[in-house]
Amino acid sequence: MNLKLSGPHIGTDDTIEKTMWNVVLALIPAAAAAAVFFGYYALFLIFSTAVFSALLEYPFTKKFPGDGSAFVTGMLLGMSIPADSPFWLPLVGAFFSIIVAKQLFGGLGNNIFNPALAGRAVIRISFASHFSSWPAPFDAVAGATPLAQRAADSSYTYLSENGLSGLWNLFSGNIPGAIGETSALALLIGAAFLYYKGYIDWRIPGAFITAVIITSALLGVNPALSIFSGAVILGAFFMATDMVTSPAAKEGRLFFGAGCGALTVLIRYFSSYSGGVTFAILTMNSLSYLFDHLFEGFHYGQYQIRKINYKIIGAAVIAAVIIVLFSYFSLLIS
Amino acid sequence: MSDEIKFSSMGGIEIPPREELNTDLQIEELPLPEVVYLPVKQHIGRPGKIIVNKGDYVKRGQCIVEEQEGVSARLHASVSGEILDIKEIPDGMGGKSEAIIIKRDQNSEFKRIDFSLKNKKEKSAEEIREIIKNSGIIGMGGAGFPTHIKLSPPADKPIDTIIINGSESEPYIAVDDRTMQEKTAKIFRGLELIKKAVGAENGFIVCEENKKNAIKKLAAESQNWPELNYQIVDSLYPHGAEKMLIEACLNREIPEGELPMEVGVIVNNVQTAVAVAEAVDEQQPVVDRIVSVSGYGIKNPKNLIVPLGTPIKELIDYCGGLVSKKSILIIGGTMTGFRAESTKIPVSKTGFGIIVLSEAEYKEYESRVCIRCAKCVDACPVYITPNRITDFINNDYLEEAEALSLASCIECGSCAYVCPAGRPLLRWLREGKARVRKRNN
Repeated sequence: MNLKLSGPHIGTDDTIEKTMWNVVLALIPAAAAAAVFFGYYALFLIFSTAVFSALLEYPFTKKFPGDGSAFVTGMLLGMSIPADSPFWLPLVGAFFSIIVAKQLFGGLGNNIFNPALAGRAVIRISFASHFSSWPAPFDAVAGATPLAQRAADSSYTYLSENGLSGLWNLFSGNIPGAIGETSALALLIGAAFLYYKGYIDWRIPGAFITAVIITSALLGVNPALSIFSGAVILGAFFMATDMVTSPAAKEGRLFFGAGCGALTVLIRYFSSYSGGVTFAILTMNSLSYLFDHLFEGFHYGQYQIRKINYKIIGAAVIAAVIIVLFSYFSLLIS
Repeated sequence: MSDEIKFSSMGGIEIPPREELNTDLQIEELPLPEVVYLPVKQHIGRPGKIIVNKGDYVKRGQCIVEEQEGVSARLHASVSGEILDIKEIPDGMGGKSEAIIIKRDQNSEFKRIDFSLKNKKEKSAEEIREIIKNSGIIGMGGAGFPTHIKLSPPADKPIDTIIINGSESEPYIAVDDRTMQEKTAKIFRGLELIKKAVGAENGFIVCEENKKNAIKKLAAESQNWPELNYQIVDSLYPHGAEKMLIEACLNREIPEGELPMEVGVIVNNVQTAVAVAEAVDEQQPVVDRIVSVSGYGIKNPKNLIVPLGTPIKELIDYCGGLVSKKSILIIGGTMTGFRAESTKIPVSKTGFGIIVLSEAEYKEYESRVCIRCAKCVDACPVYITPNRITDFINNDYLEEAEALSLASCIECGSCAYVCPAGRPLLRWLREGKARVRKRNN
């Protein structure tokens, strides 16, 4: 057999480029919402970071704008910072994202950590003062996010103070927060588009959100506040679903999403950093290949042993232990 | 029974069926070719024993290759004439195989199978199996497993269900579809005979929901066969594969590395059923088969009944030739078949299609880096992880690849079809299987 002559001889017209530019398209509603809520400077931050990221990749790929993955990274990074950030802040993040987190690991497909989040984590820690107050939409008065206020004062509940209109503000994005993460509505429109096109799977976002709800409820935080304030929607649908850094195995995706969600709430609750989503997803990224291995699952014809699913149970135990240890140490630190 | 069964949980992909090409075309007879090249081995198993010599005169339907012990099958001359030569020719998969070359004369006399029971009306199970063996019937859906062996399961493996598979699911091809429309009664008769040959209680024909005309014919014909049935299934690829059908229709899963008879089922293609009916009722061995000549690279797509061994050039010429010189020629299906190196390759018993793709339709593989999008994992009907297995194969970790059930791969090609990075996953999987075979020998 000469395998060079083997098929399949037809295929979908799907390519890496198409995948990435579709993600860019899906982020447009959120970028538009950002422009409405925070003004055109926010839009400038998003796209300058995206273009800069694509430029940074030029020496490695010799292509501009390249396969679109750097553009997506830049957009996500630009969307995860406060609207009054200096213009250079996301560019520093982009440098770390593209050069260190992505290209030094071997480029697209070989990076272990989500580049956008790695970049954000660096600027979040290095320039912490820029992340302490968040501009509110429509006016210039900066304030803490509802989440940060909740963290500062455990008796504070945004929802009971503001009622139904508070819930609508949370959902539509009319609250202080990072540029692209406040409008759940716009993000969900983009996510629905990606789901329809088949670029994201329900498992990671589904497990992520479910875990956020359950963990919040256990800790006595209002789940709606947990989901809609902060970066959970952006993280669940656009960051955790990053193909390269999430597991490929089906059950692995479920556990990966659940781990992201649980860690997000635990970090928010116990740690001094408000960036729960960032650190939760980065932590889970490091387990991605392990999950692929653990959750390889049973193949067709192995039904006799499927019932005793030792691997799944074992992995669940490992995941639980990690989460418990993590929360224990967070508790010690805080 | 006509409720559609959907089994989307078992992976599978949507492929546009290109039904506008061949579905509505009547099966035509190809004029007998001047010279036929009959590969000696067209089945899975041991090659048969050639019982003719160079220079002999043979009649259409005369046995020229006899089966050997074990898994092996007969072959009959597809035209009457003189044997020009017995030599190696390209086999259409990049290798070579021995073939018997016959030059046709004007004599069109047909040699029926010489079987003493041909006037007896009702035949016993053994007699049916004997006729099937003497007719050289093999799995004509593409697998090529000798049917008489398939229908002789060991005594400790009772068979309760026969499935006749009409869900070809490969795009472009309309062979099973047309057969179900034009030879409906013969399919039911074939099923009845196969059922009797193995003593099974149930038997039904499976058809995909997108073959509307075939379903109508089956529904009408099933009135005449009270004991037989038909079943409609979804049309995702590769749900026409026997493992998937058995699980969907009967909820039985074949243990790893075993055959369908392990769970009491035998699956045969509709072509095979027709061949069985024709062999028993008309004493006709397998000398022809139906071939879809299709694709946007051929001028007039056709469904043809072709004598075995006809070089594919004759079929292409009969269909008006290629649209452009750059068209790509494929033998078998576009998913599982092989690209043809020459047009001299003959049609064999398992060759259900000749497809000419235009350059735009043809998928060029780029082998870019895997972005772990997991589309191959979601598409795989046997739940293996093509991304991980091929990584192991490409780095020569054969044992790890085997531990991930490389052997379970049914080589459907769904993974490579959906890959956005253009990675030739099926080629790598086949390569891995070949290396495992080589290591085990």
